[in-house]
Amino acid sequence: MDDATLIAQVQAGSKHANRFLIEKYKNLVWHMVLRMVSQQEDVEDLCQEVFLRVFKDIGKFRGESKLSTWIGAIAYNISITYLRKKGKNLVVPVEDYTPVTAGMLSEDSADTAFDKNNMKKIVHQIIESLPVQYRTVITLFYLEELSYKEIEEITGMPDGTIKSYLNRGRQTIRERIIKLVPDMQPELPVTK
Amino acid sequence: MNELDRLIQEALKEKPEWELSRTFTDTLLEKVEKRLWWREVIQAFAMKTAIVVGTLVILLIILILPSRDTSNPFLTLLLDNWQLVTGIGLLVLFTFFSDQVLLKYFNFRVSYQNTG
Repeated sequence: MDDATLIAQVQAGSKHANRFLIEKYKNLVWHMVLRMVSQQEDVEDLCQEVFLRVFKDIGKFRGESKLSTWIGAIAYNISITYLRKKGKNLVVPVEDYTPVTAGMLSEDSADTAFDKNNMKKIVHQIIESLPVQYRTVITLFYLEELSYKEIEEITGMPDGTIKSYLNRGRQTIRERIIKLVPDMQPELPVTK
Repeated sequence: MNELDRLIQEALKEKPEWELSRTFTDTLLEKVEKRLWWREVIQAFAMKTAIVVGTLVILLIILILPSRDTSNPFLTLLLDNWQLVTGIGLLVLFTFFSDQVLLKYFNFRVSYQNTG
């Protein structure tokens, strides 16, 4: 079912269309909110809030962007509002961001022998410790495989900023891993 | 791309371990349905009330306007008994609200529990 048909059916009050819309976009909303908010107990409520807003405002959707980016933008705004209410500092310019210290990650991460799964866990822990903009951009680009333009539509960040966050985020993850697991460097040589 | 970069790439593309609850869609649909239902019922009630009140206001104007220079017995009657008139108006409004909203709500709840 394409977006236009889906929207028309949702507006007509079809329960099946409502269910289809939720099923189709719940992972996008879930991943975004989970990565941005990082507080599992509130994530599901926030996801519900996102969809309630989607159903309330679907009449305002003009089709200028893809439905997925419109829903993503709602999820982004709701998560940002939530973080602001919680008093989290959201504005971290790319050049001002100081990477996390080893102490911010669990001690197990550094002590455990390096293997593929541990490495992935470490990466996820590092992502969680990044500022919200980094987490959002990384999630949308890698997990949801959205283009720069789509990320721009969702977050309102300029193209250049998105690229900077991605590069800086990747670089931080790399540096942190090498710092945390120095033994792996000879096994996994890092090219500049 | 070396192995470190490849592993980072893989990790970045990996879905979170924690998942949404299985009942997420059903719970959400129930909420959506209830909200949409409330919106429809309240909108219908507001529209019907506006039509009735609007008609009454027009009727009052028609009754009052022709004799606005002299004292209007109908207007005097209304003003002298404004508390009674207001009371009757509120009673009618409440009855209308009960019929149009509350009764429908209870029916909706019963039918929802039966089908749920």
